[in-house]
Amino acid sequence: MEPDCVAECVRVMLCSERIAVAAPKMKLYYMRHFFNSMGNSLHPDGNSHDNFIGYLDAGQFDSTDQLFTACFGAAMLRRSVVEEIGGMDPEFFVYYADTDWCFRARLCGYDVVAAPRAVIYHKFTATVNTMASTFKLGLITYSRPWFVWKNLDFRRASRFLWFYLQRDFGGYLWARRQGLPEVAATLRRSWGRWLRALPRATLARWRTRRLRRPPFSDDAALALTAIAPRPAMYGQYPVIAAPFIRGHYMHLEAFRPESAPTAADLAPTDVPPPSSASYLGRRAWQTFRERGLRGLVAETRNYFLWRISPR
Amino acid sequence: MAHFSPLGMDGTLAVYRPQADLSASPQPDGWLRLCRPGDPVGVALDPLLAAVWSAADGHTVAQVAQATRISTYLAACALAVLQRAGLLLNGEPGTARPVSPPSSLLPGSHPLSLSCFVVHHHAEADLDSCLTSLAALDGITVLTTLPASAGDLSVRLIRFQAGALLPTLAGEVGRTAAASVLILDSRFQVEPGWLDGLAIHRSDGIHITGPNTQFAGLDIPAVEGEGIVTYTIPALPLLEGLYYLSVSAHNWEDTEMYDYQDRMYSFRVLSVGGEKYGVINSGGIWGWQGRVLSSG
Repeated sequence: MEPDCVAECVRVMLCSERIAVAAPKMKLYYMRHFFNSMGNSLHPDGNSHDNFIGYLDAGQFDSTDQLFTACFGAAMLRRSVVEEIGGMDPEFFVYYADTDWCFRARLCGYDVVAAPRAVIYHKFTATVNTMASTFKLGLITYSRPWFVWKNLDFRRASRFLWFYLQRDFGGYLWARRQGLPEVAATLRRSWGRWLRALPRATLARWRTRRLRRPPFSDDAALALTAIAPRPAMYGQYPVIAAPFIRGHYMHLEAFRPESAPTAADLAPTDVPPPSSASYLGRRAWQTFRERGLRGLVAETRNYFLWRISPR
Repeated sequence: MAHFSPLGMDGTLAVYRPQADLSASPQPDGWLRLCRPGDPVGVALDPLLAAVWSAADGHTVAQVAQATRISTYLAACALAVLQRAGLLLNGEPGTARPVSPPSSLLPGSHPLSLSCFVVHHHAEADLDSCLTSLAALDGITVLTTLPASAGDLSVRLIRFQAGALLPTLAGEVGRTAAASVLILDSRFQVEPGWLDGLAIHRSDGIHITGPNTQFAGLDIPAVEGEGIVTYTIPALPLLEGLYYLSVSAHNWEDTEMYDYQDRMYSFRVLSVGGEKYGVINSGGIWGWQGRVLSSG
């Protein structure tokens, strides 16, 4: 932790009584120039991720203010809010507990904000990497339907649940085909556990949604997930790759060379927006060549799910 | 906030490779993973950035751009990002190293290239099909596949020029079996009065061996043009696992590194016996003495 980390968090908290959480800038312990997170987001495709994870910190995200939720790897909470809305839900373990608590605070009309000048370092995945490979999978598979069903409005919650169910069922079949019985069993057990807990989750949903208080709105809260660019990760590694250089870093003052760029330098990133018809055609052909018709069908289904997902 | 504007645009300022505590692990798909000691995660570079990072060693932005065939603008930006990430350090003005033609920085034509493997205990048909599939890949030229011998064993000597795919290729070809013979051949084009060294690491970082020509008392005189140094390991009693090879060329005083390819080549040793604990097969012979207990 940087020496002034706590002081910076306090400074942010003092700005308003409505601030429930101040989230410091969390960076990787070993690669200290890389972001680990500054808050969390729930992507429209249903994936949850740390904001800005894998990006180099050159001050480009320092103007971030409101966050969807904070990561409790390091965060400062207002005591009065904890006393008012209670602690973390014991239904969650490790994953989504922080997201759930912060969203509850938002429902009650409080803010979750970033403290970009407070810096702390985190040994990313240091504990999880010592566990069995299915440990994280089991926790996430159980927790994310709990979170969306408990907290989000009915339209989003049901759509996200449908996404998760489809994806995990696909993962289950894949694990069976690949001879990974422990993965298949983890998915089956987690969903079974969640279905058994559905009455409790529904009761929790009824209680939680009753907490809504102005100025909270579902649309405004979910709109905050748009602040974070897609994670710059390659598996579990932060990544420096040509598309990120062209699409992100090159436009930052800190990395802009003095000479004039060529047209090729300023060409769009290697990952153009998926609305381009020619791009989609090329992707489809590539998928067909690499994974066959079945892969193409699966990717097409994912694409349309993504297109109709709530924004 | 400090400004990390790209340096070396005037061709006088060098950008150096960072301190030696970064370990580089080439990935099968051409990406490069860099880690600090104790870091289980590290950072991954895509093939282009990996080439920039490799080519930056003591060279200016213009040289790196030429070597990696990208624009100076993009190279400068990429170097600035790598520098900000703590993966490169800036040199002092005027320290840019004069280099042999910049094209020698390309992955396909390193000043020093490890270009031979001997594959033993491979069925001949397997080896031929492997070579056929390799030759079909772009940018790979199988130069020679000569029969050779080492001691009592007859082996195949394969030399190829492989460009960017060399690490992957070595991993494919370099399937060797315990107790087989491994001949490494490094090609060089450097000044006289130099040393050639290599190292073998296991995938978990254990340094298996690190021989060089100085330790062996091999004094290489001035050589004109290109030469070849061969290192022959008559028996390779490694246990099953993935191993990485490093090669280096430096001057006799070890004050100047001409080239250093840290763990850029991999090979897998397959188990042929029952030994599985430790690093090497000690090759000992078991025996016993005693009176067999009579069941009657």
